[in-house]
Parts: sequence; C-alpha cells; structure tokens
Amino acid sequence: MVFKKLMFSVLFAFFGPLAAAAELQIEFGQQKWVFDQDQLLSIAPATLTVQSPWDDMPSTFTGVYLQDLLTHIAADASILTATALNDYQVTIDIPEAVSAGAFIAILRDGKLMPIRNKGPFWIIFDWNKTSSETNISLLSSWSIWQLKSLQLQPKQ
Amino acid sequence: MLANQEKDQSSSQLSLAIVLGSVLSIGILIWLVLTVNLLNREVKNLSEQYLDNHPWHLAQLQTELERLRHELTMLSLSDSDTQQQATSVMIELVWNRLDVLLQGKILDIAKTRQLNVLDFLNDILETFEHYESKLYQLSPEDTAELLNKTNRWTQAYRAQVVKIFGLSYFRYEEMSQSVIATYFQIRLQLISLVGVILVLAFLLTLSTVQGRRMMRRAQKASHAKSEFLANMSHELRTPLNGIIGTIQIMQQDPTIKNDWLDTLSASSEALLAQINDVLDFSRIETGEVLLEHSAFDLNLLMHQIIAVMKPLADQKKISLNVSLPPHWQDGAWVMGDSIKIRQILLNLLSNAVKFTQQGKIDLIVRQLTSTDIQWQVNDTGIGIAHNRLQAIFQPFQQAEDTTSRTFGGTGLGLTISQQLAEMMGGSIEVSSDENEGTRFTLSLPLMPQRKETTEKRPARKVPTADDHQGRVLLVEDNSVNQKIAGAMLAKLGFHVVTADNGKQGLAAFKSNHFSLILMDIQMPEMDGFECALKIREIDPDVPIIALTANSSEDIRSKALASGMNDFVGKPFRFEHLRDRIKAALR
Repeated sequence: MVFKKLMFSVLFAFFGPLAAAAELQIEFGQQKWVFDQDQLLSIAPATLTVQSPWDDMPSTFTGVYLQDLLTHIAADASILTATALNDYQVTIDIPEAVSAGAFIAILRDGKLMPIRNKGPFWIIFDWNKTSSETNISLLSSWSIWQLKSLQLQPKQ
Repeated sequence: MLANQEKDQSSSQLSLAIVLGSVLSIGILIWLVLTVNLLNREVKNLSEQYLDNHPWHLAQLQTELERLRHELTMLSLSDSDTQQQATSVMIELVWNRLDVLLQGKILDIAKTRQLNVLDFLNDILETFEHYESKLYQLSPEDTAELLNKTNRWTQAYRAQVVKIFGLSYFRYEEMSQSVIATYFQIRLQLISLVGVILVLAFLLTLSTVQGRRMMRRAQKASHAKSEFLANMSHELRTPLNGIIGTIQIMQQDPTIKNDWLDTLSASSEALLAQINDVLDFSRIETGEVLLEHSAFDLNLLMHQIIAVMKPLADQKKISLNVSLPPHWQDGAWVMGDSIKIRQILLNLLSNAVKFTQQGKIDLIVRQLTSTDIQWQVNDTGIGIAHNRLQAIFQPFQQAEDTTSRTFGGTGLGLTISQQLAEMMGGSIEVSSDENEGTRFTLSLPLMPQRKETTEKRPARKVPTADDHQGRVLLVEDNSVNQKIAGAMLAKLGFHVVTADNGKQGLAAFKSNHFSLILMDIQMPEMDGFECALKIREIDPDVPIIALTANSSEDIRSKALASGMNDFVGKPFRFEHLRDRIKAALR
C-alpha cells in the first residue's frame, strides 16, 4: 500500500496537469454543463471522511454534495444516469441518493484521484450514517467511479 | 387429609411446571435472539459477497483487457495524441480493476486453493508499474511490448481466472445454504416457542381454575364452620341452662338434693361430651391424632363395651342382642388401636340407643377373613331418609336440622368415627329406611396376633378412702379448682396443703414432707414444668401428677419430660382422679 501511495505521488508530480484536466459533463434536457475539478470545487466545497466498502481505512474526501450541485444548476430532476470512462452506466434515484448523503468526490486526502484509483470523479455516500433501512447493495452499485458524465431527467 | 395432601402436591407440581415452562421459554427466546444475530451476520456476509461481486469484476477485467488490446493495436497502427490518451486511460482502467480485485476476499480462497490467479494479476500490476512513467507518451517499442503482453494475458485469463468464477459461485452457494439453514432453525425455534407458550398458557389457566376451586372450597368450609359455631353455642347453652338453673334452685332451697344433683351431673356430662367431641374432631382435622399399634384382645374389648352399653339400653327398655364369633371365646388377639375401636363402637351403639324408642338393637360381629372383621349395628329406630344418608358423615351435620333439637349432640360423632375408621384402613357404611331402623357396618382390617403372655399382676386390694393417710401438695392458681380438688383429696383422706403458684409450691415442698404432688401447668411466677424440674432436683421419687385443662399431646409429653409421673386433664371426675392417685401411689 505504502509503495503504491508513494508511486501515486510520484505519478501525480509528473502527470499532475493531465490528471487535473478531467471534466464532468452534465446534461439536463437541452441544457449542458461542463465542469472541471476546480469549477466543481468552487460550487459548495465540502469534505466527507468515510470508509468505502472497497477500502481498508477511512479517507477524507473533498468535493460537492449532489444536492448542492443540483441546486447550483437549478435542475429539478428525480433520476440521473451516471456514466463512467469505461461506459459503465447506472441509474440513480436522486431523492434516495441524496438522503444517503450522495457526494461527488474530487480529492482523496487532499489530492486529485488518478483514473487507476477511481478518479477523476467518484460518487460516494455517507456510509457513516447509513441506517439499517438503507440498501447497502444498492448504494454499492450507485457508487460509480471514474465518473465521466451525468444525464439528469426532468421530473415527469 | 390425604386428599388435601394430594391436592397440595399436584398444585406444587403445577407451579413447578409453570416455572420450568417459563425458564424453557426464556431459554428458547435467548437462543432465538442468538440465532437471529447469526442470521444477521450471515446475511451481511452475503451482501458483502455481493458487494465484492467478483464475477462482475472478473468479467469486466476480461472486457477491459480485450479493449486494451484493441487500443494498443490501434496505437501501433497510428500514433496520435487522442490514441495515446485512449490507450493510457484504458491501462488505468485495468489497473483500477486489479486494485479492486486484489482487495477482495475471494483471492484469499484462491491462495488457499493454490490457483495461479495471483501470479497472473501481479504480473499485470508489475508491468503497469514498470510503464507508469511512460503513460500518455508510449513509444512504438513500449506499445509493441505491451501488446505482446496483453495478448498473453487474455490467453492466461481463460486458463486461470475462469476457475475463480467457480470458486466464487461455490462460496456464494455455501453462504446461501448456511443462511437457509439458519432461517430454518429460527423457524423451528419459533414453533417450539409457540408450543411452550401454549403449554404455559394452559398450565396458567389450570392453575387459575385450581386456585378458584380451592378458594371456593375454603369458603364452603368456613361457611360450614360458622354454621357449626352457631349450632355449637346452642348445644352448649342447653346443658349450661340445666346447670345454672339447678344451682339456682338448690341455692334457694338447700333441702332438695338428690334429684336435682342428678340433673346437674347429667347436664355437666353432656357439656363435657360435646367439648370432647369438638376437641377430637379438631385433632383429627389437624392430623394430631396418632394411631397406637399394640396387641389387645378383641373378645375382652367387646365384653367391656357391652358392659357399658347394656345398662343404657336397659334404661330405655330396649334389648341389646350381641353375637360374637364362637371361636373368640378363647380370646381374639389382634394388633391395633383398641381405644379408637372402642370409641367408634361406643359412638355407633350410643347413637342406636339414642335414636331407638322401642324395639331392639342387634350387634353382630363377623370375622370375614383372618384379617377382616365386620361389626353390624342394627336398630329399630327412626331411620334416616335416603337423601340424607351420606350427609350424616359430614362434619356438623345431622340427619335433620330438627334432630339436634330433639336428640342433642354436636353432629360430630359419626364424622369422627368415620375418620378414625379410615385412618385404620377401614370404613363405615350405612343403610336405612326412614322409620324402619338403621344399619351401620364397620369394617376394619386387623392383623391377628399371638396371645400376649403378659404377667398377671397380683390382684390388688382396691384401696378405699381410709387407706390414704398422707400429705398432698396441691399447686394450683385458680381458687375454684383449688377448692374442688382440695375437697376431693380431703374426701380421699389426704391432708391437703395448697400453693398458689410454682414458687410457693416449691417453698412448701422444701419445708414439708409430701407423699403426693398435684401440679397445675399454667401458673403465674413459676409454671408447673419448672416447679416439677426443681422438685425433681431435690426428690427424684415423690409422685407428681399434672393437672391441666390443656390436654394436647404436646403438653402431655412436655409434662412427662419435666419429671412428672402422670397427667390428668381438666375437667376430671372424682373417680378418675382417685384412680390416677391410686396408680401413682402403688
């Protein structure tokens, strides 16, 4: 692990500009937005310290809550389809995701996340406060990494 | 008594069953909670298994390796910035997938099964780490090398990784089986819990019903006792009226004597008989009565009883015909309680005499087998109506409510007799037609006994009053009793010294010689037990007779234990006191 973390820092030192150049595309009907990491971080910066089911220890993530992002772009959507770099897609129920603390992570422990470590964007949830009613498996499938774009569907 | 003990036992067994049932249900409940926890853990494991979702990641790995091969091929054909970007992103995607896979638990199993999957994955990882610094600007040589390796990995994938699918499914299957087993266990526990609770509810209902029944019985008993008390007080007033009235008449006219004295004596005797019946009954009820077990001659007993009953029958001009088994003439020795048998027979015979106005009474004794003896008492008296036949054995009951008005008695005699007979393993049965007489049948099992060879005591010269010339110490705190006992003793020829309590009695004893001491038990300052003990320290031989109105076995044995020789219950008859004194001085 330590070796890998070290390698990651070295990589980031060399290829920081490439990793930082990632963009998140958002569509809402006819409207389209493109945010890079800095722009997303300026909307409503927040941190979330949580241990994901794929990690051995908690990390501090910096990013923006899905709710804040939707408020920012004034999109009244109930369902979104998230797409990853490998074109994996998942459909997320927005009210349920928001109530589980859906969060778009941009930095892990203060650093940009490379693609090979679930970057550049990762939808995570506040697993700290998930109650017994929360469907953990559902949240796991919604925790889409290497996020590329979000297509929001207007409320019917 | 026996029936009550059985009920107590069954009620305590019931409580025990309820306690056991509760403990059992709590036990099952705890077990159930533990099993539910286990199920919870297993389901969590299963969902983690889903979370790891290895088949998915492995399938994705295969797809991504194919895509990487495609991108590398494209890059080797035409090098452009876009293609460089696409190829390196693909490498990063594969790399990420490897990380996820290497963190999952499935690979631990792979390790134990010695599959080469780990080598395969590590080979990819090490290659990527080697090219890490060259990503996004791969040279044609790097591209060719990576393409070569990727070709090999896709082939190796088919050989190695597919095995993990099987393992993963196997593990998943195992875990779901265990969840199903646990669930089944929970269902069984629930069923047994419901069963135990149902049994418990049944037991509780039973217990409630039993409690209610016992309460009703207690109420009934208390009602019967109140009725009895009302009856008793009437029955006690009647002879008391005779006593008080006679005394008043005697006070007014001291010249009349004999006739009234007989009335006085009869009334007192009736009063005493009733009080004795009540005491007997309460002793039987509290289980205080113990059976004696000694050898006696039934033939002799029967003759004694006949000797008592004959004059009473003669008085009413009724003939009393007795038939004994012929072979009893030489004596009929058995083991048993002669006093209780005498009590029963006297009760049956005196009832017969009491309720027969004219005609005869037959007493027929039969030896049915060597151990079973039957007594039949037939009278030609008023008889008993059919529907009252069983009621006469109930405590405080007589055949008719009006009977007690006519014939007197507490209605306890038959109850006592029947209870005594049952204590001895026998029974009393009755048959009757109203106005046609009554037949009581007493059956008792009595073990035959060889004739006891008791040494015959030399015939004693029966002492008369004049034989007693000596000093008697009478320790008694009640002045009336002092006066009566003093008068009786004086009539027997004794010089009487009285003391008001044990302390005075002891002082009197120290200053004088006495040939006999009569000792009351309950007295102020020093009671009879203590006084007797102190006297025994000085003189171990002087006869001491206890005199007490409390005639329980307990007091009797305590009196004997404190050194007294004999025991006379109050009220006592002159003849009885005389006999006890004679016996003590012998």
